[in-house]
Amino acid sequence: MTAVVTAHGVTKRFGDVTALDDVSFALAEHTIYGLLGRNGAGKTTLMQILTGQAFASSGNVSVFDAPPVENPAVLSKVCFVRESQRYPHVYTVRHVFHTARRLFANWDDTFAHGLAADFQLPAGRLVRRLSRGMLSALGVTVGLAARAPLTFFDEPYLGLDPAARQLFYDRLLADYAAHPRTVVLSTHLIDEVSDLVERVLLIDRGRLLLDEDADDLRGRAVAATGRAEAVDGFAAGRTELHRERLSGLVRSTILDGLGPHAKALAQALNVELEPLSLQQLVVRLTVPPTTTAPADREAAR
Amino acid sequence: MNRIRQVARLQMPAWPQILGWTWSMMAVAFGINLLSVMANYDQGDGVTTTGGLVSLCGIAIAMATVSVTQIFPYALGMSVTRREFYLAWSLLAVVQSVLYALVLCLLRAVEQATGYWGMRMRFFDLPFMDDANPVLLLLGYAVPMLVMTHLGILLGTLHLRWGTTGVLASLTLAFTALGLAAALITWTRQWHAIGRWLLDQSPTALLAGWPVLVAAAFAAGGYTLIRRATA
Repeated sequence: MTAVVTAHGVTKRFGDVTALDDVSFALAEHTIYGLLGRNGAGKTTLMQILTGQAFASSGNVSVFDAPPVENPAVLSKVCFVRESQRYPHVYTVRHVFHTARRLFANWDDTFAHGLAADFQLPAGRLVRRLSRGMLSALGVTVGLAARAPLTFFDEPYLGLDPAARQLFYDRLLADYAAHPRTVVLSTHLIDEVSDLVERVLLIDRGRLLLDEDADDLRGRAVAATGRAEAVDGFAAGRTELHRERLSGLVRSTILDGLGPHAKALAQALNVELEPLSLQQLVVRLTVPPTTTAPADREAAR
Repeated sequence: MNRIRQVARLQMPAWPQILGWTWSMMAVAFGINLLSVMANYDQGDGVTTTGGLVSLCGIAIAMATVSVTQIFPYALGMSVTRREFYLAWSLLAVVQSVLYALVLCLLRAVEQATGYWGMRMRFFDLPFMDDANPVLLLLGYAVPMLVMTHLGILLGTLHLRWGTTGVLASLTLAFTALGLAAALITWTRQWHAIGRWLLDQSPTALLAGWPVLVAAAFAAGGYTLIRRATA
């Protein structure tokens, strides 16, 4: 694999808060990544460091084989429109397109205007007067039309209705097929993008929890439901992420649950197995198990 | 250089506002000065020098500060480096200073042609410019403008790094330092020597030479600050 990005031991501290803690990974060329994690997990900070917009406290980042900070050769191949991107007070949507055309080498004006029409972005409107959804649409449009070899989308769905989100996913896939590049999609709507992303990076409280192929991940966890003793028998020797009781039955989330004999064992114990969706897996991995006592959870049902 | 020019064009959408506000505020300052001179007008009086041109300095500082704080976060999001941004804004400062200087030269000519607006009010003309050649005249307006614009950019970069607190703390520090220096000069009875030194300077040094050094110092400060700025 040709690495477009390599991060080694990246740590970022804000005072006594550690936003990123010793994060290491690599991003391959021509791949769509899902950067997943809860609010405040460190996703935006990580993307800012990868694009030279923020500085790591320690660790090394290399983008296109060079440090990205203050490096025009690297940044000319990078596009990162932050979710909280600030636009100048006097800028209209048209101004954003004009400046993007001058600053991004691969900018496709026709594509940008097509996207703007699809998202019904009013060209003459001041950016500060756009709704949340339109602001997202503007960021998405810039990100797509810039056709940067390394493109980041930071929670691009905010304020977008399902139809507009689908439009974004469709346009992204179509344009990615025609112009392959490395895309990093930071999102919470994991099931929505689970067919789109090829690889998953999961950060939680500043630490990288997962860096795996999306396909492998989808088969990695199962929910095992059955009588308590039966589930205990099945779960023995396996990593149990979570357990809940429902009307006499026990439902256990098990990581790496599907070995060659697992299905037969489950059948013998009368335990029902169902694969966990990517979103469920991420929830199970990132929700601290002690926040709600099992009894409370039962009561909440 | 081409990239720097492209980055500088990020300011284009703001130009109508910058020019509009700057010169309408100047017009107001001019009008008020003219009214007060008219109110005290006496045929026998000599020429009144108002010093109202200082308001242009204040406006230039404020405009540069606002421009930096508004556009830098956007530029960073458009994959522009901090270095490119600073050089572009320095270029804009030079262009704007020369343009304003040309306008001021023109207004000075009008002022002299109209017998100081018919009221012997010296607004655009400055006393030590009396026998300046055209080049020195242009520099005499442009270089101090350059100083002010770079001061504005410096304040903007302070804001980028440490917010309003940073700007206010730096201003407090600067005023304290200047105040203490003034007290020290008084204490040691050095004002006379400083006055002599100023009189010894050639008009070129006074209007352009020394101010260029001040602008360079501001620019060095602003550049250093912006290199570690985040949006």
